Amino acid sequence: MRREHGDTAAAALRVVVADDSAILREGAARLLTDAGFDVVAQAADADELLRKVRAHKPAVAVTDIRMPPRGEDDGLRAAVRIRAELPHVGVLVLSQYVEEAYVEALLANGAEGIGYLLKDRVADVARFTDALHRVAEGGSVLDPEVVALMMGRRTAQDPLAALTPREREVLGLMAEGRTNRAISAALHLSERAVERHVTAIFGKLALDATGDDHRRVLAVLRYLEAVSA
Amino acid sequence: MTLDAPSPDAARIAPGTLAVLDAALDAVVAMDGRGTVRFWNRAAERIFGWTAAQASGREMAELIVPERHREAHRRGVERLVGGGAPVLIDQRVEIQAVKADGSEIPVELTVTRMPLAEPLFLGYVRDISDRVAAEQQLRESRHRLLEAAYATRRRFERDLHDGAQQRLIGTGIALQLLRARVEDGGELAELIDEARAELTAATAELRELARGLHPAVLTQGGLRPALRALTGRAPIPVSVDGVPAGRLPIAVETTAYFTLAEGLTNVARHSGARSAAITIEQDATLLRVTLSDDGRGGAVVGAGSGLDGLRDRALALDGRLWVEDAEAGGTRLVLEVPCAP
Repeated sequence: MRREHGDTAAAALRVVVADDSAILREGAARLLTDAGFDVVAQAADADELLRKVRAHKPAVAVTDIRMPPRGEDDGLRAAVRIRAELPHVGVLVLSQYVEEAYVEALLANGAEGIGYLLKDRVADVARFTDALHRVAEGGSVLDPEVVALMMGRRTAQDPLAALTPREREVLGLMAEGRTNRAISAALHLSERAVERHVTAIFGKLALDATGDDHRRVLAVLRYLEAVSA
Repeated sequence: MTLDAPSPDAARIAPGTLAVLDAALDAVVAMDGRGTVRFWNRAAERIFGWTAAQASGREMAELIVPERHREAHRRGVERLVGGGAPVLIDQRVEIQAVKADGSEIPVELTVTRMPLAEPLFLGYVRDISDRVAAEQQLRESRHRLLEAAYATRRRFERDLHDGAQQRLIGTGIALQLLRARVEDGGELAELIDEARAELTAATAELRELARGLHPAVLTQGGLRPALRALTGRAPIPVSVDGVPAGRLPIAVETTAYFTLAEGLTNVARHSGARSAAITIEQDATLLRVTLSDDGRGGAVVGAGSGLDGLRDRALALDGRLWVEDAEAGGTRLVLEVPCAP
């Protein structure tokens, strides 16, 4: 296995890659292998994906949405099923389009261990591999375009009205799955300042004091619920 | 030709007049106040399949009125003879008539009353089977053309998704693999990064193009998720009410979607509205889609508004589309198409 890049210290993350396009499947597999992941299987349709995930129990299953056999949202349905059947397998769903309907279907039973990225992010290897790690650890990752779409939705009763512009920015980055440290780097703020913003967001969205990671996910879900009501 | 005089008055119709009526291309038939056939020209023989000799003296209702309408016909004749208000007299109507072999044909009928002391009614009957069939064909072919246009757009979207879009992403991955093998900072690295940036932009443009052709989510999930996506991208708040949970015929869903997409574009561009509302109502036969805004009003279909093409699509579905100023101000865009739930 080539390990020219990426973290070779930790055990390689085991990944199953599904896409009906051989070019993309092979390309993504090669990219991941180069970055130090262990691509244990590839699948060309949703049924094969389910079979191989059940057999290999990888850390993460990466799948396209539109795939055979029906050629509709089969990959998405497989991802939802994997999350329900195998709680230790994270799923990273890749989509040609940003669709709220897909995101809602995916997050209907919680956001842990779930990622949703536009497909072309695959070519941005740092972002792609970072997303895989976070999903493998039970975190959640939403594509910046999803977040922009959801934060940008004009609603008569804006659930985020109480948030300051800065807090909105922080919530957006949380929704993308970034840690406080990553957010502080992105916004050129101290980590303490980010923490204060995060606490303020939790307060304003009326989230109980449970585990911080869980609340981060809840903050995003609360927002998604509010805009889809 | 036959005309047995029911009265001395009737006999005063000149033989020349009868010859003219007999030669007419439309069926000309006459009936007295008892509903009995008194005249039956050659075209009537051809259209209905009864000879003048067979028809003469029979009840008109029995000969050419479909059974389900006969009682109404008889009551109408009685009412006319009794001096009641005429219903069918002196106007053109399109109704069904029955032929000797029992088959029905669509006809255009005009009934006039002869200015005689004894009641005598003349009926001019044109067989419009060809026209009705041609109209039906036109409607069907127009509907098929619309379906074909939609199918083509769906296929283009799918081809882009499965073809060019995938290849571009594949190319992006290849460039990424290449970039990883090149030292940072050099000219080569810079060129590859430029190429990747261009590729990212191209992918995004192609994605928007494909979405505009036919949103994949409309094919997969129908109006509900497609309208969520549409309103999510609108620059003003848009409420959505009454979207049917189930799927509708694909041409209806697609027409409703594109009508609302175009309508929302117009609202954003021209109306100055601060909010808009989409309402969908469905009864036993009709789907009504309404887009209301609280803008300045005064919108019209036509004048290259982009609504022309949408009105054509509505017509192709035997529906209609119009805009109107709402009483409370603002504009309402309404699409109605036949659609059983």
